[in-house]
Amino acid sequence: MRLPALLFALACAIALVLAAAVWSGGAGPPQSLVHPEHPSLLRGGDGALRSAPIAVHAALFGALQIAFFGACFALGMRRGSSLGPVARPLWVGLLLYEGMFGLLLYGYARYLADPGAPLVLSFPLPTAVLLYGLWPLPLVFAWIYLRHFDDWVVDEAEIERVLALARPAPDEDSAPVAPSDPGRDR
Amino acid sequence: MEAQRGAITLAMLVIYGLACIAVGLWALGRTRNSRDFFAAGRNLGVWVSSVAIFSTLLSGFGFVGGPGLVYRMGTSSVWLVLTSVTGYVLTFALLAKRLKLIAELRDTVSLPDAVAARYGSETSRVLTALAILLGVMGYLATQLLAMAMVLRDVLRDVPAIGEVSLVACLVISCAVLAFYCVTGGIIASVYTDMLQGAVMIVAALLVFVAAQASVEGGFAGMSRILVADDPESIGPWGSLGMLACLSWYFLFLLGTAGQPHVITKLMMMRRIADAKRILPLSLAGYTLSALLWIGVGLAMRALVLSGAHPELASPDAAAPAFLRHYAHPLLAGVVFAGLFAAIMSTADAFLNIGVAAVVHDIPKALRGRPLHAELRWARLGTVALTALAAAFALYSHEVNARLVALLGVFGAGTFAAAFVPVVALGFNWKRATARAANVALAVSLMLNLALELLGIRLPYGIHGGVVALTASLLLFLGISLASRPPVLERDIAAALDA
Repeated sequence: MRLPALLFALACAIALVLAAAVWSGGAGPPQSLVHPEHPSLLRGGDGALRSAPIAVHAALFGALQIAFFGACFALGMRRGSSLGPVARPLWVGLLLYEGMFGLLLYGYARYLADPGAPLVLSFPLPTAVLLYGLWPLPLVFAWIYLRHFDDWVVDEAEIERVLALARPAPDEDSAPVAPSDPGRDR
Repeated sequence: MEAQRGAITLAMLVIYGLACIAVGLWALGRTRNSRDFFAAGRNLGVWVSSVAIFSTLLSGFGFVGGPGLVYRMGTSSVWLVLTSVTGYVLTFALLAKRLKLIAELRDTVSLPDAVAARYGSETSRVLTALAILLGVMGYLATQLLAMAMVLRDVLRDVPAIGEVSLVACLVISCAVLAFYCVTGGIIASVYTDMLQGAVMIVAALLVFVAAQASVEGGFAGMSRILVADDPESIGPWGSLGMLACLSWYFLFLLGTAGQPHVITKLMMMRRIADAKRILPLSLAGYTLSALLWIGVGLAMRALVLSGAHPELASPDAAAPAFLRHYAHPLLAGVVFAGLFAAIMSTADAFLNIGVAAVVHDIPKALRGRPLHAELRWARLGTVALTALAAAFALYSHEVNARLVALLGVFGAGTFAAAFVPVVALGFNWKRATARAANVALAVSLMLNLALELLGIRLPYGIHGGVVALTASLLLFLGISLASRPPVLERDIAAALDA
């Protein structure tokens, strides 16, 4: 499937998940409660109770938006219709990203069962996964961008060729043209 | 030294303000035409671009609103910080090369210029300028009001000065801002950003260390206090819950690539190859500065819950209260200067793109050519827009707060909904059509306004901006896919293929 069509499909799926969540909006307890002793604070209350009606929606929404991010990143990294050397590390990075999100959900399920479990690096396990895993993990994509910057992202010769089109040129250079290969830019 | 706390803070602010004025005077000689005024001659170096990009994105919200949200909601608002890595990476992957290429090919000075060149549509230019202008008015008014309030609080802490009216504080703040923006345009803005960014990083790092030390046991101690009170508040979703956090994540993960005051800076870098060094530098700067957000918020929540600190009057008081009671006076002075810097660096960027919309983009769309003596008009426009936003901020503060709230919706969420499809995706996809872009722009504006006017609140804390973003993505992609491929100018087609 071509990238824009994939993006469209992912956007449709996200819209459906959100619509399903909104549709079921009346069910379940409130997500936030005002703290009984400190009105300037909010509490989450019973995590299992408030998360149960939306856990599947949230898992799907999270997984889909990570996939959407991956497709957008691929769109930016491709040249013509090719991802060149970026394709394989991108897939690995995306799998790691989805896996880390899965680990977050798994950690949260365990945390609901035992909130008093020992802290990991000063935080409860799922929060540690969030701060030390999910936050820095997209650095993989920064690494991909920087690692392949000179050999793929920016081709100086290609840039010069494109910039030359801005300089005074023969008449034919300023004429509108259709994409030379319509399949290439879809 | 404790007795001199207020005077020290004021001294820091005065030094900072004088430095901004000095930069404005220096930049005056370097601003020779409207291209310099709006686009810094598209000749910014690596360090200036890097710091400008991150300090522009991290407004006063990062220093006051962010810690306040963590204080109120626990880890929920941390999801906003988490998007820093993905947001920056995506912005650079999608825009650093192709937006800059189009800027060079068509000699653009503003985002609407680039959009008009990409789609070959003056309607796209007008809609882009309109979205920017509406967003700028709300953002700018809020930032100006925040500057005035910070200054009033600082002056109040100096016994020799005492109470000063909000109007006077607004006039002083706006005068400094307008001075360097009028004299030096975006050049003064980005070079003051250098100063502002440095202050923000130092302030954030020092405060993060102070926050760690303020609760016995550091962050582990804070976690234990929060778990004992409400395990959810220090769980991964905080007190808002799963869907609310994920909706923020989605909006800001993509939305960074749609913030016009940020992506405009990508057109200004000297060479495309510089993006390789600008990305890690700006990412590091933002992440370090955002540590304050998490540290202060968690510390104040733990301190209040443990009874070590009285309850705060409002969540926004979290950072100021922490600085007054748990930070060394010198550090507090640096951080207040950092706060002022954060607000100003965002305000000057908004001011510049707002003036560009009024003085450059809309006249160009209507007349087919720029105004005569555009630089003079740009300077006059800067003064006028500052005055208008200040009056608007004051009116809404004193008379009708709903006005700013209404324009406030044309903020980050609207920018994301309008510009992620049209700019971030459209500059990487030759098949995207002008009609799709115009529909996405118009619908994103109308949908955000309608959600606010009708007071529609989605269940589970889902952010309304997500609905607008998803709708505009669907329309943009769907209409383009269903249309015939557009005929592109050769240079634009080559830029999109590069």
